[in-house]
Amino acid sequence: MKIFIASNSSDLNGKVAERFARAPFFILYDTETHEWKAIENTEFMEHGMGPKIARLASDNNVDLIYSAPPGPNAMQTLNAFGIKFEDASGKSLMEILKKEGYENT
Amino acid sequence: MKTLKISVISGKGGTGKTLISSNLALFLRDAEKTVQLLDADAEEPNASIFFDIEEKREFLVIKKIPKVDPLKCTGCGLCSSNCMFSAIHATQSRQLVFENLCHGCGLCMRICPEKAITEEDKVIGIVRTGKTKEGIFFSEGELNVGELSAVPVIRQLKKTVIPEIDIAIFDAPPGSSCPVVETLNGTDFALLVTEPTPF
Repeated sequence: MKIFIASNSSDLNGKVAERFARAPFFILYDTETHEWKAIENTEFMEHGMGPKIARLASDNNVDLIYSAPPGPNAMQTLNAFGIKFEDASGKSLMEILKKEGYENT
Repeated sequence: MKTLKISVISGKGGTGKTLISSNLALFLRDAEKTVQLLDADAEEPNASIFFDIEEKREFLVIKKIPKVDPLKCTGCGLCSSNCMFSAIHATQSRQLVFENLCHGCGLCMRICPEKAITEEDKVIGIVRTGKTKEGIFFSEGELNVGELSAVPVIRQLKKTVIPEIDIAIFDAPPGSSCPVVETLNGTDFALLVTEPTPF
């Protein structure tokens, strides 16, 4: 399963970003291979960021998103793509990754 | 003679744009010019409250919204990846169009390889024209509640400028955002209204 975390940092020591689509980075983590990478959020639009980032997640074959609650447009798009969402407001990345089976080596 | 177009603008609201532009219109009418007053503050047009307007006519402002045929859509995503405003998202199972994000450019319809996208009309506002009792030609644009951008309404409002008129006065929206830029585009002269209240 592939998970997507809206993050404040490009490494795994940060916290979940306060906002979904305007997070500075997205951590893409594969729960089977334990591989991860940070995707920098280079998009900027006044409107329509939510659907855009939902699309980015879909393009990366993401199954589950951890972030602060997305807005209604983003939520609709996530539903259309069949991507699940879990509210992770205020959590650290490590907390989530350990739950998903990541071991700090 | 070419029409002189004057825009009355201000950085903030409540400085007296409407007061200045309506009085300027009356003054120029008294100076025996033919005058047209255009209320371009489409989010809240209110110049009309100062005048009795006759010979009223109304024109609807239409935006083109894409509609996806679910039977033809293969979910290739070409429309989504090319939409600058992230307004259309099509997968095999579902097709989403965010009407408020859509600018009605028609790109998705043109690039769809399956020709699955057609356009539907959506009324987003209204342009009214008329003539005041004092003999000033009058137009105003009004954006429907819930719509995001007044720019298409202002664009249509500008088309109501009478070619033979001496002077056209635009009562602009406040601020310096897109609707103001659209109002200013094509005018000859801008009048900035300020007042001395500190921030």
